[in-house]
Amino acid sequence: MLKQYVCRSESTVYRIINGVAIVVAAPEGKLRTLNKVGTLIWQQADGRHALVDIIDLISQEFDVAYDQAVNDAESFVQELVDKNMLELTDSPVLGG
Amino acid sequence: MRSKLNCSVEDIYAYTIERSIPLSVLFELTYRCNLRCGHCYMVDRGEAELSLDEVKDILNQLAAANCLFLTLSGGEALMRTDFFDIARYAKAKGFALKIFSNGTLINEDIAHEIARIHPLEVGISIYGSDAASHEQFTGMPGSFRSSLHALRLLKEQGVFTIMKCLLMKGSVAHMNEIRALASEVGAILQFDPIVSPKNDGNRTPLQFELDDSELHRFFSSITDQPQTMGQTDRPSAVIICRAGRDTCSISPIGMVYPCVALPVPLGNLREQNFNKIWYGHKAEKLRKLRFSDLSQCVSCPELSFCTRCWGLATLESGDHLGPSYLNCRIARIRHRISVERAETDLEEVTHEEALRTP
Repeated sequence: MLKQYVCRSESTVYRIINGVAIVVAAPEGKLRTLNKVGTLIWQQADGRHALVDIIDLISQEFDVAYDQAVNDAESFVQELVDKNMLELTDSPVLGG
Repeated sequence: MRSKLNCSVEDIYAYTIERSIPLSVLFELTYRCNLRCGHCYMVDRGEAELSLDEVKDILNQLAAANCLFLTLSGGEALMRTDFFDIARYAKAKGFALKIFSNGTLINEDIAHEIARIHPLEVGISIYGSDAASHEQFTGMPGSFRSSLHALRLLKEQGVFTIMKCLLMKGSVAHMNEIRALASEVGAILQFDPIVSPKNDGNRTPLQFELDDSELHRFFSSITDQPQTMGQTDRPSAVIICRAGRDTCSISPIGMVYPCVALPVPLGNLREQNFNKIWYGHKAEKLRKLRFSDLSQCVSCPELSFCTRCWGLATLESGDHLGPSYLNCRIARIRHRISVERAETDLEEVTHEEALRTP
């Protein structure tokens, strides 16, 4: 998963309000908020960044051990992939 | 780091209300409509509706203001030949889209196009359980079949559909048939018992409003919610409603209102940008109003049964701080139903006790 590229699903929309991502996924329509780290992952999930690069960024921005960042980021991304909110690809998404 | 799934939506709304962030906007794209509904609240004053470029500019401003939920409505929004240019642009700007339509212009291709923009929901208006009862309100033969067909087509495309049913004179007796219809087409059913005057105060639509016995029948059918609104007294600091606080509407000519039901103009987007209107004097004055400013309502004995709408109050009497006669009628009816239920419960308990008595 680490080398894969992370991309927000077309069925999601979001706004950053007060530094926090508020995400809505169609057709379910439920509002979800992400915490600060989740928000950073979400913003970087444009299909042009591999998860490993996003984790590097997390390590720079937040006071967290690298292994912990990897575990948390993988489980977070998998959770949103399972909910069809994020997609993983083996190569960058053109125009992402 | 985990996502806060199922987080408190109330927290989000509390934040957006506190900061006056326009989280939800209803955008009426056109006055034009192919139906001739006598109950329609819209008044077309003949001014030119916003062009595509003007609409796009407004969408840019709304996105910058952090609007998330955008409802595209009309008239009949699909009467605009550039509807999908607008919808796709809105989608690209990151809005969570809802579409309100009468459904009569939705064929297979249009249903497919709608599905491609991933709307949160599409609401289609249905007013009766059969063609005769629906079309007596729409004035267009064949509209019942077309609207139902649209609901089916959208469902087939995986779109979340709402059957929006404004209850009018005579239709309460057919609620069960309408429920069956919604179930058959796979739509969520939303009944609305409130017919409002036109936006200019014209009361013609009220000829279709429910009488007391119909309102009683409708509210009696709601068994999964209490008749009370959960508050027996509302503290003076409580805001009146979300209109103008985190929600507003925009008319086809660019006028901004606190709510589609509250015809108090805040400003025109052809003359001022959105932020200037939204954070301007008129809107701020409106936001300062509290429940304690409603001198008559605040001391009303039916308060706990009331869902007072200040839009209705304004349209009925011109006084947005006064009571709404329709809301007053409904509050009295809900109170009566509550008393009737309590008496029925007491009778059942007494009957059970009598049975247990040796």
